[in-house]
Amino acid sequence: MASEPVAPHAADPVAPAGGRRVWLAAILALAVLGIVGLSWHRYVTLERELTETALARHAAVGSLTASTLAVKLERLLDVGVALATRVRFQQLVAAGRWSEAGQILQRVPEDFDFLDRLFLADVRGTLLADVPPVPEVRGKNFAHRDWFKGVSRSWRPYVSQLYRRSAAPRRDVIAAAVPIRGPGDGVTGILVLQVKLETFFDWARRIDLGAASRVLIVDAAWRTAFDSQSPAGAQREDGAADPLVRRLAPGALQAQVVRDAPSGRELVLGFAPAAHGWGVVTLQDGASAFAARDALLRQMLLDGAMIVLFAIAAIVLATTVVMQRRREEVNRAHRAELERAQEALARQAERLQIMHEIDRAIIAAAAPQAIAGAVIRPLRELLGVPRAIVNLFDLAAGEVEWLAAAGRRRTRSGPGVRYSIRLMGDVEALKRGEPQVIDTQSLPPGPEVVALLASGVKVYMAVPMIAGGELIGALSFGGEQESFPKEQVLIAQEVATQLAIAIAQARLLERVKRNAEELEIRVRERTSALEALNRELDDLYDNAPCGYHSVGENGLFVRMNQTELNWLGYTRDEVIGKMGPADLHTPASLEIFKRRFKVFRETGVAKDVEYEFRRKDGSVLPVVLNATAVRDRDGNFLMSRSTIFDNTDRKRAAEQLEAANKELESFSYSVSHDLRSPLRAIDGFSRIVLEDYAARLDAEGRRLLGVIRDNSRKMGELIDDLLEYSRLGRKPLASAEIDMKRLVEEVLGELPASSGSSPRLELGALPPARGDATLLKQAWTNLLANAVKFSSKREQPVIAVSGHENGAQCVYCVKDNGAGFDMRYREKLFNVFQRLHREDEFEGTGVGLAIVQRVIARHGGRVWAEGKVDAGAGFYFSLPKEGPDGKI
Amino acid sequence: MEKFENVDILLVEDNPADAELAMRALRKGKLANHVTWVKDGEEALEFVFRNGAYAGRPEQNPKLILLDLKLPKVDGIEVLRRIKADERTRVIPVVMVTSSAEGRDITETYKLGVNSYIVKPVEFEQFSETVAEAGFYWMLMNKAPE
Repeated sequence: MASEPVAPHAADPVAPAGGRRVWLAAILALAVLGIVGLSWHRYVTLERELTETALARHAAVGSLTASTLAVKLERLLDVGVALATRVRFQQLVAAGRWSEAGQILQRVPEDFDFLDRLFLADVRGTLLADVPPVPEVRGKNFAHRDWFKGVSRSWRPYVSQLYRRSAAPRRDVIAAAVPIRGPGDGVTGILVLQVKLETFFDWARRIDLGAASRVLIVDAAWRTAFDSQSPAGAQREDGAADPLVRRLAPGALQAQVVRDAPSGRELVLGFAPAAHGWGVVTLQDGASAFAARDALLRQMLLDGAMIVLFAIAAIVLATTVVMQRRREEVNRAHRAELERAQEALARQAERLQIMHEIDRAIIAAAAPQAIAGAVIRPLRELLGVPRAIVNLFDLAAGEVEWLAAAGRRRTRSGPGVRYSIRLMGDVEALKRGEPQVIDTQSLPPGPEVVALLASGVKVYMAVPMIAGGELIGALSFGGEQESFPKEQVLIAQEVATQLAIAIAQARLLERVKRNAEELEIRVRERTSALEALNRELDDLYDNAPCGYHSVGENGLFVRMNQTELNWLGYTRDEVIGKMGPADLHTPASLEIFKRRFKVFRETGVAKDVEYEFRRKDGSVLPVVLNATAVRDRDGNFLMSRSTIFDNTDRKRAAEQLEAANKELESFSYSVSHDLRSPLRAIDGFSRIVLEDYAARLDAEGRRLLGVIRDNSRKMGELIDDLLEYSRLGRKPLASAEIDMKRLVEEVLGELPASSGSSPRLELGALPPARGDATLLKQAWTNLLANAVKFSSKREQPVIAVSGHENGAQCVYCVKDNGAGFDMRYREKLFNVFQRLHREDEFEGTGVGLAIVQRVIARHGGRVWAEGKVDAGAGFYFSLPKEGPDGKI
Repeated sequence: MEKFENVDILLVEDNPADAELAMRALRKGKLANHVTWVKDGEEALEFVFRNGAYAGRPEQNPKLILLDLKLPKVDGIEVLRRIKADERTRVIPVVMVTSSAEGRDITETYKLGVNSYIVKPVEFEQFSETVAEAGFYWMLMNKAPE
């Protein structure tokens, strides 16, 4: 909803001339570009020319220096040649009178200040005389020196490369070597003039290349003999090592622009060859070498920039003048239109403002009446009519009710005035959304008509208010006018629509409010019922005959029922959120708990775990705990829900059982030892009688002794079986996966052959089991031995072994077609020493099945049997799949 | 005391009937020439270590001891432990003879270094056979170098 009247946009006056302007700009840009391009070309050409000039100047100075150097070197050699060609000197040397020859040279250094020393050497380079004398070098051979190598190459005067004196002061020198020829023009010796560099090259210091320049004089090996930047007498750097000098191509006159690698400075580097392989290297800072060029170019750039600026300024000025003229024209053309648009906009803004007020009123008001009341006044003003009314329809009653009305002076709202719906025109047309125009005078007379006419309403319009497809009322307004302008109708329709929606919503809101209140009452009722139920639940929880508690994620109790609290002797406040199971367990129990709780959080189940809690008074409470984990939707552990049983009685019973077992064990031990000894004596001594006194006994006496021995042996067997049986109860149970089929086959292989006919075996599939292999083997042995025994009197004994899975159990069965038994005695079958057959029919102690029963019971399984006298028997046993230690 | 010379077998047995049966079995196996029978553990130890009533016995170990497990005063296991703990008597073969087949006893005696173990059967034939066999075997095994 726009709340502000929108300011009219100023139309762009130059917009129509847009195309031409682009062209103009393009042409101007081209002109400027042309000027700039030409200037630039001139600039570049000039720069090249000036650079070449500067380089040429540089090269010229270098060349001049090189010429001077060449002259100096020639002069040096001329001095040497002049000395060496003196006749007296030649004679003395030819005669080998070296010291006398040396005497002649004695005064020469005084004439030439650049001479360091002079010396004479023979044609093999051995120094034989020198001035001034240095005795330590006299007689030494210097054939390795460059001067010797140079002069001896073709016996012509030679200027050497730089070398270091061998005697002190050990400074760098050069030498001019001149051959001394004898009478027959043969070479008889060498005159060497050793030259002081500083003095010799002193002239070079006066060479001025410009600011920041440097002149190097280098020998044939590019070693520096002179450096204008190094002060006189200082150690010179080796020119060959200078990376800049190494860029030069030796031999030719040259000048080039280079960049100094470390500083990135521009330098001018030049070289001019002199003579004897010597040359002059010139270096000058680019800034100084090209100072004149750069100044000129800068000036030129400035001039160019000024020209361009002037050009642009002129163009801009011209354009502005043209544009200004055009803009004025356009402005005049559009002003009238603009004013009209502004007027319309102002009206629109006013209308929006009022609409906004109406909207605000609709939003702010809650009841239909308040909405209508808030809207009606601004609406009447907006429509500019004397009277406006918001009517609500009661279609069933055929009546209309005023919701709010506004006249010139008064506004009233609130229900009260009702009149016939006929005053609203065609209701069906209203339903279709068509506004109705009603002539007051054409209406049937009545008080309303009188009232309308009295308030100056001759014609009025009824605009339907429709919400959700339902006609709920109409907005009526009118006055003296004959017709209603389109805009007025549109505004009325817009407001009517808004009003209809708002009123419908307000009605809905009222209904919702009513419903919410009802709901609240119902919730209150339910809540109190729930609270009652909760109290009942709490009561059940608290007073259950077992303990309940829950342990939260943090390992602390989140709740515990009264029973458990009573057992432990704590109050709820002492426990909840303050203690955890870890605080309750005895140390031994805590170990188990820590292990188990970790598993429990994973599996979510704890079953029949035995713990020991410590009561507040320190006494021990043995408990059995069962728990499940409560998890959130993502499966995260929230808390446990545990049930606790007091295990005191069970524990006591277990202890008693333990004691009874111990007793039985020692009893069995005694039986084993003490009962067997006398039996052995009875049997043994009967045998001795039979062996030693047989002759004195008649047949009956011997038979009687035989009976004694039979019975003692039998009793021995009984004792052994009984011991075995009692041992079963005490042995700890191993648990492993057992292949039952293999076990049965193994047992069958070990069974002693029966005395009767050999049985046919039918071995079915046997599911694997978990348990103690030794004990289960014993059970199978006994069952199978029984089957063999009791079927041995059949013509064709058959023994069938089978098994199947039944839920969490595996059931195994041994069937035979033997003597069977009477089902009335089936309960007795598994009792110790219980026999259903006479001794003379089938031998036995009556312990075998009791052992089976005990083994299976210890595995948590069950044994049962079915049979019929003389129709065979079937023995069954079941084992839990999870094994005897299946507790979690 | 002269009859304790050259003792081959020492029979330790508190039950006179068992002792007589054992002696008879050994006799039948021609092993009874030098059997000495003592009736409890204490006497057995006195005999072996030549003290108490047997202080004057010549210094010679029996070649085999048949030792009952359940004995008055000092029981068979203790006797066995003492014999096997002593450097001088450790080499004597000891065969346990007992009516009990309790696993615990068997394990214990093997730990102590018993050489063999006989469970006395009730039947006389079996008993005498077993005793005679054990005696024979260990007498042969015990052909000492001296």
